[in-house]
Amino acid sequence: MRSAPCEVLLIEDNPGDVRLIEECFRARKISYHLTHCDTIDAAIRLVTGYGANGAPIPDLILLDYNLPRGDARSVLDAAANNPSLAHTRKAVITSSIAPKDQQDSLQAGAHAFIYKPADLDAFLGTVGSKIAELLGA
Amino acid sequence: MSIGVTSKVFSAAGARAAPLETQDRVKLLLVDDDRDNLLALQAVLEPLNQDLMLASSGIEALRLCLDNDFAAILLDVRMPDMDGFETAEMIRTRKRSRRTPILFLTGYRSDEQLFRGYDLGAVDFLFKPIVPEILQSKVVVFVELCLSEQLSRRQAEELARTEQKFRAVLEAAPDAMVITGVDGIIQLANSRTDFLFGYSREQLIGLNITCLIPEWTPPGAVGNGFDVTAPVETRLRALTRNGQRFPVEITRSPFESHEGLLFTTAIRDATEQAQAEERIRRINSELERRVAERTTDLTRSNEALRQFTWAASHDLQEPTRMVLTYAQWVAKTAAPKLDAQEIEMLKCVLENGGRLQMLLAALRQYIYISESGDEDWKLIDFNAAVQTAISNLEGMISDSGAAVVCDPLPSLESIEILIVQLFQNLVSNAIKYRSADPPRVRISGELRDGGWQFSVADNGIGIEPDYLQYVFGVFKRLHGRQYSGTGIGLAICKAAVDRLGGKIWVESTLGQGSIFHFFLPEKNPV
Repeated sequence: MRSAPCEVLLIEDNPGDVRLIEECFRARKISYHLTHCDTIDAAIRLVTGYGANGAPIPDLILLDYNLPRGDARSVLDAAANNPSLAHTRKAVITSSIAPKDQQDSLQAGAHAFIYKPADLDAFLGTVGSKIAELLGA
Repeated sequence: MSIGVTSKVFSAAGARAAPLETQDRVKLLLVDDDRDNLLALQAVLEPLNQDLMLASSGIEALRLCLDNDFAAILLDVRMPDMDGFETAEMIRTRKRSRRTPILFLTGYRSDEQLFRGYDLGAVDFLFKPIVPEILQSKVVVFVELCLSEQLSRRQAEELARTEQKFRAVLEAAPDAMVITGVDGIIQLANSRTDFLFGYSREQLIGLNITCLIPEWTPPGAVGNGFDVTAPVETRLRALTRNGQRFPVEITRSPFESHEGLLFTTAIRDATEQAQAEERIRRINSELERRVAERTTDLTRSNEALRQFTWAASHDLQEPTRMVLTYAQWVAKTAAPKLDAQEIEMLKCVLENGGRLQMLLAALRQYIYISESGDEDWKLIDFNAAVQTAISNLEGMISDSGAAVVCDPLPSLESIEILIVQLFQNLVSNAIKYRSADPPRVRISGELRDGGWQFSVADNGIGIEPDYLQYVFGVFKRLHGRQYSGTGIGLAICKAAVDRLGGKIWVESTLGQGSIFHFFLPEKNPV
């Protein structure tokens, strides 16, 4: 387990999911520092700014694929174009079952495509273990 | 006056008997005031087999000329009261006998008599004593002349009658009929032509047919003749005398006549037909427009419905997931603080939330199946597809103790996820609606005409005949809560089979089991 809390950028518009994702960290006792935004525009601003604005570089970016007003892939593209994020793990988190979304996400540079289960224990289990895996925790 | 006919002459005349090979007889008039002479003439001419009429005076001869046509008249010159010349003069004044050949019989040669005779239209003189051979020969000439005249007249009459019939046919024709030469010059036209084109018959004759139909050409030559099977030419424009245009269709046929090669052109006024066609065309295009309009409307409403269903199933999914997850969370953390009744209430929330979640997932699946694209077609091993379906149902199969067997299946061009889903839903259905016996499911496939028929047979509870028609409907559930299910599994199967261009149906015996069949038309069998 790492001494410093890991830096996490969560782009998610559903407060219910924000709480659930935070619970995944707590349940696994992963110490974390969360930056949260809930729009694509804000996310792109943040992602493009890393390395220039002095904000701490995230270890993990978790991106809800179904954000309103915009294409989640543009956030992934922005992240891929920022060399400061070369070591950042990126994961798309979604309730979509469409194989095409998964394909597109991985193609746009996501390291994982995490499905949100409709069951509390399944959510904490699946999403939690994926997060731990991505952080190497 | 004596003719001095001898018996020798009579026998010689026998050689000239029946000189004409015809059954037609002509009339000959013999005129002499001497009864004996008349009988002698009659005896000489009898062998000619013609009708001989005798007159013993000019008056009698004239009377007979009123009622009869004679091939020739043999007229004695010297007769009392009215002599031969006077009689001839009178005969000539009558229209009927104006041209009848007259042979004068006379006892002596005199130039004066000859002049007078020829002047009166005599064709010949016979001098007494009469030599029977000469008399016969001369009369035969006139008989033949008369007969051949009669024949020509009859032929002319026959020709006229034929012509009349031909014209009657021509006139009765519903079409304008025009006969032209190769040059297109009109030689004959019927009254329908006058009517249709506004020319008089006289104006039409000699006119070129291209004045009526500018596009007219003689029928195409084929080999040595003309193409008599030339089809009807449609959509030609005709021109009336006033310059009005109207549509016609024509047929042309060539025929040889004594005037050379001629063409009959039948011209049919196609105005009504063209109007009818135009009406049909307008109706058709109006129909097409309406169909296109309706199709656009339907496509639009279908698309709207599709988007609505998709959005509804997705947008409902998120809040449903939240409700369910957080209800579970509450149940987890607050359970120790809740009394029995509150726990029951929470359980109700969880159960229904779970069910809502499942229905939405099934609905999404249904939409997804119905919309899979053509690019997903590939060669599918149906055995592998069944294995995938069975492994997806592993938990259900082992929990129920079901035995699922599968006969060898073919590889076919198809869409894999649809096939897996089909078998998965049918097997899951077979196990779900089980009887008290351990479920037994048998999957088989059979080559049929034009494709493959697959069957999934079970030993479950079966379906009541009245409900067979409902099983493939969306959200149609025949059973209460003792059988879990979304009511959409078989609807998904139907959507999948529809998508693959096949059909699905079920046979069932209540209490003994069901067999679901689906037929997939062959695309590229291997």
